[in-house]
Parts: sequence; structure tokens; C-alpha cells
Amino acid sequence: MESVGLFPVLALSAVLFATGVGGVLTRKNALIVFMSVELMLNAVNLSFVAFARHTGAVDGQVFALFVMAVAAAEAAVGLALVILLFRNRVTVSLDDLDLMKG
Amino acid sequence: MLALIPALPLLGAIVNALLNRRASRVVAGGIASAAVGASAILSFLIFFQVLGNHGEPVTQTLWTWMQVGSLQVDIGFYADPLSATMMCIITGIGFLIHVYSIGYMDDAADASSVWRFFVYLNLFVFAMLLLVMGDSFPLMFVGWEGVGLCSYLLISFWFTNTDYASAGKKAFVTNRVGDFSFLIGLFWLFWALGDKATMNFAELRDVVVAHPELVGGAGGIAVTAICLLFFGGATGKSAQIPLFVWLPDAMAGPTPVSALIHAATMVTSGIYMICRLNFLYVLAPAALAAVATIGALTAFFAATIAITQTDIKKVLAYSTVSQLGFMFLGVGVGAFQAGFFHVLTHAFFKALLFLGSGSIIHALHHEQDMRNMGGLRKHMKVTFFIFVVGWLAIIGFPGFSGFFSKDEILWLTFITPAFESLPLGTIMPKVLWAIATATALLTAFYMSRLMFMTFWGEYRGGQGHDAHAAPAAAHDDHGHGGGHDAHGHGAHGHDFHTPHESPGILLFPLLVLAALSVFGGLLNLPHWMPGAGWLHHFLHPVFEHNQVVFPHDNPLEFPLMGLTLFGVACSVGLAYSLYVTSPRKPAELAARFKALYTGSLNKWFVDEIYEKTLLTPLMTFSRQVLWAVVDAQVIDGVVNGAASAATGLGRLHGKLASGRVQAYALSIAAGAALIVTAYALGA
Amino acid sequence: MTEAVLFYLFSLVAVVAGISVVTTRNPITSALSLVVCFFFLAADYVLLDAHFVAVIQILVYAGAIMVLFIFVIMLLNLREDAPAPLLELSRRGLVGILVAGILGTGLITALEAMPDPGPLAPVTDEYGRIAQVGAAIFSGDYLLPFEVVSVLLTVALVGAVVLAKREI
Repeated sequence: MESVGLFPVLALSAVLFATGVGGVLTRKNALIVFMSVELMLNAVNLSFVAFARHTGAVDGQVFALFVMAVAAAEAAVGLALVILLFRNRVTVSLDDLDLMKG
Repeated sequence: MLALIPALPLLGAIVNALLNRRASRVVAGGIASAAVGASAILSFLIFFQVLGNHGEPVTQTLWTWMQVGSLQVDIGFYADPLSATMMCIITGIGFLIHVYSIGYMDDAADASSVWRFFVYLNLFVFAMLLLVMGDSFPLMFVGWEGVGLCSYLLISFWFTNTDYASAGKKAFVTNRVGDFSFLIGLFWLFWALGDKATMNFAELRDVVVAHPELVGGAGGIAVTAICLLFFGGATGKSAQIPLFVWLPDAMAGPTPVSALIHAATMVTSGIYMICRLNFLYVLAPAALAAVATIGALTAFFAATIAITQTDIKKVLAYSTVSQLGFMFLGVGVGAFQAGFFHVLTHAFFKALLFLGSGSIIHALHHEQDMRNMGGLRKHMKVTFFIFVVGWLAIIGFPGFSGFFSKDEILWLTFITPAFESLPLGTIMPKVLWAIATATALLTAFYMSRLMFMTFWGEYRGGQGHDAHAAPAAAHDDHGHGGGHDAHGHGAHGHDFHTPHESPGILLFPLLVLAALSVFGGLLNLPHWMPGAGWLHHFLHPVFEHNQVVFPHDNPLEFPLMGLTLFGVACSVGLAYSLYVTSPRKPAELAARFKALYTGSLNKWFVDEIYEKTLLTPLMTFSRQVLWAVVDAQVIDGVVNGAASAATGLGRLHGKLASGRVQAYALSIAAGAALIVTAYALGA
Repeated sequence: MTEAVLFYLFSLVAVVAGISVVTTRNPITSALSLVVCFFFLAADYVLLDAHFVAVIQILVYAGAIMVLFIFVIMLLNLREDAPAPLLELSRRGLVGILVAGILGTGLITALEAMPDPGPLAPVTDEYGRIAQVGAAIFSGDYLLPFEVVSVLLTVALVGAVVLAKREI
């Protein structure tokens, strides 16, 4: 990777992150929003791994592993919530969920 | 131990307040009396301790109340001869009046609220003790305001009667005027002393004595103004011109309250304060002259009103104002001990007279109009006897307590050298003496009138108010008013025509007070008698900075005393001839001197003048400007504006809270974008 | 040089797959695009010498998590989402894209402005392998966080069951 350097990896991470943000902000389907969040998490993971490679220490990779574990937990709970939501409202459209309206 | 003295009445008040309706009249009264009684015993112990120490004060500091810069104010108590004497008066007479109240407040209509009465009464004793025992201005001021509050609460004790409630308000507001003056004086004094400022009386005295130049030196403008401002506070609390108007109305309260607060103790706190600050007043002869002049004028003025009043409590109220004037005259001419001695004797005989009148009122079921009394000598022998004692004491019959104190004030006024440094300083004492002597004669007249109208002749009760030729215009407040009055008459209608003697619980305190009224004079016999001036010597440490020296070798002393006594005798004789031998005469005289009579009967229209010159413009200004413009538009505008601004903002904010999770996510993302952009641009 | 070509190739595929995730109508397409994205990211991890992370990425992410997603989509029988935002943009969609664009541009601008980080550190063959990562976790500073994560996973498991089960 010496011929590539750090910058392109981080740029890829930024692009993926921004794509995820765009998905979170624009899609109505809760599952797709959820997947966009996963995309953002992976973008961050990429940064961790890139920095780990840059410093030569392995800590960044350990962090990436932790993020994956937390993402797994989050996916389990989040998907359970989506199921619960669908069972009660027969929709997964976020636009229909405004019970917290002030 | 010192702190227990005010603490016990406070404890009594708290216990009664917690028991409230559960405590019957006897229980509540018993608790209250026991608290004050225990306090009285401790007070006498302290008094004898101070006496044994030759006037060395007993002090106790509980804790530091506040500390600001170099100024430290403690919760500390201070019993020097002056305080110790006041403590004995307050708790001693207070105890008697508490006991008396148990018997007096037996009206069925009050049964559910009598605990409140005793709570206030105990609270009053607590505040009054704080006033005289506090070792610093702030503590004294707490007591000063506390007694004002209790006075207000007790005057309007029967608050369902609108007149009584507004009498309480009048007392409170009038006192505020005086308190304002007091506070300004205090601030000025504090400011003048600069970095030597202290609020502690003992330290203050040392500072002022050591550095009189801080307050402008002897006769300086600053000290004169400060003393006058303090005196302004005293005119409010002690009912002097121009703020005396509240005291006669304060008779709306139950009679024991009139005796304790509006005769024996609270109203003398102005004199106490001037005595306490004597080291300041002796530096300001002009202020002393003002005190003496106001005192003499008030004494005379109130006496002229007392002559025509028909309500027995009103007569006593104006008499109190008049006697307070005497006390101020005494301290004003530099005879602090004489003035204070009159506080003492007046507390005895005026409490006696008030409680005696209470006994009559109680026996007649809240009848206070003397035109409906008469002949009570036959029906109420004990009350009559104690009234005679009080009467002889107040008119200054030789040998009774009032004789010694009043005569001492008259004589010392005549010879005082206190005003020699002032213009007209040599004439002034003589003029003041003349006014005071005239007042003494008037006092003898109206008190004799009261006696003769009440106890001589035939009982006139139940014959309607036209028995006497005087117009019924001034007769506007008797009994509890309204339904209360009707109740009292209805419940006891069967014996309305036969006044009966009061029960023992009312008579016992009266007898004690009667004994004190007779023998109280022994405490301070004049200088030509053996064992003279005991109180004078006892109080001397308090007044050691008083430079006014009264000469003892004036040949005029006994002739003047004889003149006064002769005048008093003539006044009594005149009253006897007018009200006993020819009862038609007063009406004829009233008709002949109609202007004078109407003026006196209507209290020289002072209330009406205040109403027209002060109250009406103030009310108009308040309604038209302060209420209609400042309050309704400016303040309400600001308040309502703030409220509607908050509502508008809230509505705007509510739009942000759409409840949709992506709207919130958008905010987060926008914030992140903003931060990242700022970072990117900055880097 | 080969590494560079591979990296840009993988990256291109990952970005295209990522965009596909957020733009396709059908959730299934979206999920499969995400799997593709994850695969190519794993490939990038390999290029970055993070071999163990790459394996876990495929096993856990592309495997377990995404299978869970697809299960849920199938379970709920979700077919067509609303018209894709790129074709029929609402105001909210425009604002979202705008904010995301600003964020991405800002990030890349900030990266460009970043001072030169210097060359990559030289690493041994052991770097990023399971032995080294395992040693870092179990004998390094990460033992306690690792155990805490295991508790977290247990809690999430119980939570998911409680939430999703009809009757307990």
C-alpha cells in the first residue's frame, strides 16, 4: 500500500460515510435507513484500519472489531424493533412515525 | 439563661400554633401564661443579677448572624439596667395580662380562634423581648418590626369586621412611615461612622463617645439629623404627632391587647430606643428640643381630644398618647431616668385602667360607651376600687406612683439646662412646663369625667343612646360589631340590666397591678425624701454620658408642685360638678362652645386632614397613574409580553420537534456538516 | 503498483455498491448491494494488512448481520419502497442530499488540508494476523472492554428476544 498512501483510503471512507448520511436523511424505509447506518459504521471502520496500518500498531484493528461487535448487537435490537413496529403499525415508513410531535 | 427569656414565649407560641384548634381557651391560655410566667421569673433573676453587679450588663451571644467585611452582627442578648427593667415590665405585666386574657376571651364566638389570640400574644412578648434585649440594631429592628406585626395581627383579631381590619392596616401603614425614617437614620449612622461602623450598642457607644467628630461632633448637623430620623421612627411606634392617629383606632383589638401592647409595652419602645441611644441624643440638643416639643404638644393635643370622647377605651387611648408625650418630654429635656420612670409607672396604672375597663366591658357585654354606663360603683365594687387606684395614680394624687413620675418630669422640664445652647433656650423649658402642666390639669379632668360618668349616678344601660345630650356622631364603634355584638347581647339578654362583678381570674391581675400602681413610686422617690432616686442610681450606668445636670436647690420646686396639685384638685372638682351634681351642664357648655366641642369630639379632624392632603392625592395618583398606566400597561405589558413571547417561541420550537426521526437526524448531520466545513475552511 | 490498481478498483466497486444501497427501490437489492460493498471493503482491509478484520468482516458483517437483514425483509414481505429519491426528489430529499454533499465535501477538503502524515510504518508479516490481534486483545489493554462487549452482546440477544417475541 506504500504506493497508495493514507489519503485515498480516508477519502474513500469519507465518501462512503457521506453516502450513508444521504441514505439516512432521504429514505423512508426504516430498513434502508438502518442499512445506511451500517454503511456509515463501515466507513468509520475503514478509517480505523487505515490509521492502524499507518501507525503500524494493531489497536485500530481491535477497535474495528469492537465496532463490529457493537454493530451486531445494534442490528439484533434494531431489527427486533423494526419487527415490533411492523407488527403494531403495519408499516416501516418513518414518515408515519411522529408520535413525538411537539 | 438569658436566651431562654425570649425563647420561652416563642416556644409557647409554637406549641399553641401546633395545637391550634385542639387547645381550648384554658389550655391555650395556660400554656401561653406558663411560658410568659417562666420567662418573667428568669427576667427577675436577671434583674437581680444586674442589680448585684452594680449595673454591669449580663450578655449572651448565641451565634454570628451575618458578617460583611469588618461588620459583624451577632444574635446576642444584652441585659443592662435599662433592658433588665424593661424585661421585667414586659414579662411581669405580660404574665398578668395573659392570665387576665384567659378569663376575658370567654366569648363563645371566639372559642375556635382563641388559640390564635394566645399565639399572637406570646409572639408579641417574644418580639418585644427581642426589641429590648437585642444587643445590636438589626436584632432590635427585628423585634421592632415583630411587635408591629403582632400589633397588626391583634388589632385585626376580629378581622371579619371590616372596620377592625382596616384599623389594623392603618396601624401597620402608619408604623411603616416611622420605620422608614428609623432605617434611614440607621443607614446614615452606619455611613457616617465609616470604617469604625458597628451595629452593636455597647461598641457603638464606645465609638461615638471616643470619636464624636465622626457624627459631626456635639451639636453637629449629622448627629442632629440622625437623632431626628430615629425620633421619626419613635413617633410611629409610640404614637406621637404626626403619626399618632393609629393608636386610638388600635382599640379595635381585644382589651387585653390594648393594655399590653397599646399602653404598657410596645408603645413605649420609642422611649426605650431614645434611652438606649442617649449617648447620641446628648450630642444633639436641637434633636432633644424637638423630642421635648413634640412630646409636650402631643400630650396636650391628645388630652384635649380625650375630654369629649365617649368610648371608654378611646378616652384611655388618647390618655395613653398624652402620657407617652409626657415620657418624650422627660427624655427630651435630658431627664432620661425621669422619662423612663414614667414608662414604668404608666405601664402599671395604664395597664390597670385598661384591664379595669376590660372588666367593665366584659361585665356589660361589650358595651364601651360611657353614656350607657354609670352607677357601676354599686355593682362592681372591686373594679371600682381598682379604678380609683388607677385614677389617683394617673392624675398624680400625692403618694401614688403617677405623682412621683409626672411631678419629676414637670419639675425637671422647668429647670432643664439642656437647651441653653439653643436660641430661645432659656424660655423654652418654661413654655414646655406650662403646656405640660395644662396637660396634667386636662388629664385630671378627663379621667375624673371618665370615673364620674362610669361609676357615679344611675346605671343608664339599655336606655338607648339619647340619654346623654351629646350627639351620637362619634359613637361608631362598640362591642365586636355586627353579628358578634348581636350574639353577645342575645346570649346574655336576661341579665343585661344588672351589671355583675367580673370573675376572680380577671380581678387577680387587677389587684396586683393596683398594688404596683400605688407603690411603684417608691422605686424612684424624689430627692427630698429619704431613700431617694433608687431607680435613678440603678439606671445611671446606662446614662453616664448624659451631661445635663439638674440643680437641686431651686426654691420654686415646692410652690410649683403645690400649684399643680391645686390645679388638679380644681379639675377634679370641676368634673364632679359637671358630671355628678349638674349633669345637664356639659350639654349646655357643648352648645355654647360648639366649634371647640365639635373639633375635640372629631379629634380635631386630623384623620380628615390626612385623608384630604395625603391619602386622597396618593390614592388618586396610585389609581390614575400607578395602576392605570404603570401597572396595567407597563408592568402587565412586560409580563404579558414575556409570556406571549415565550408562547411564540414555544410554538416555533414545536415546529422543530416534528416527531420524525429524520428531521432530528438532519439537524445532527447539518451540525456535523457545519463543524466539518468550519474546520475545513479554517485549516 | 498492483496494490494501487487493486485498491482503486475495489474502492470504485465499494462506492458504486454503497450508492446503490441508498438509491435502489427494493430493500432486497439494497441489502445485496450492501453485502457487495462489505465484500470489497474486506478486500481493502486485506490490502491494508488487516487480515483478521477482513475475515471477520465477511463472516460477521456480510454473513451474519446481512443474513439477519434479509431474513427480516423477507419476513415482513417488503417489496417496493416509494419511488427512488433520485428520480422524484422531494424537498426533504434535496435537503438531505445537500447536507450529505456538504458533509462529504467538507470531510475531503479537511483531509486535503491535513498536513502530510508521512509514509506508512514498516510492518512485519505477523501484522494484522489473528495471533497478533488476539495477543493485543487478551494480553493487552483490551481485555476488560472485550469482556464488556460480550456482556453487551448477551444483553442485546435477550433484548431482541423480548422485543420481537409475541408472548413471553
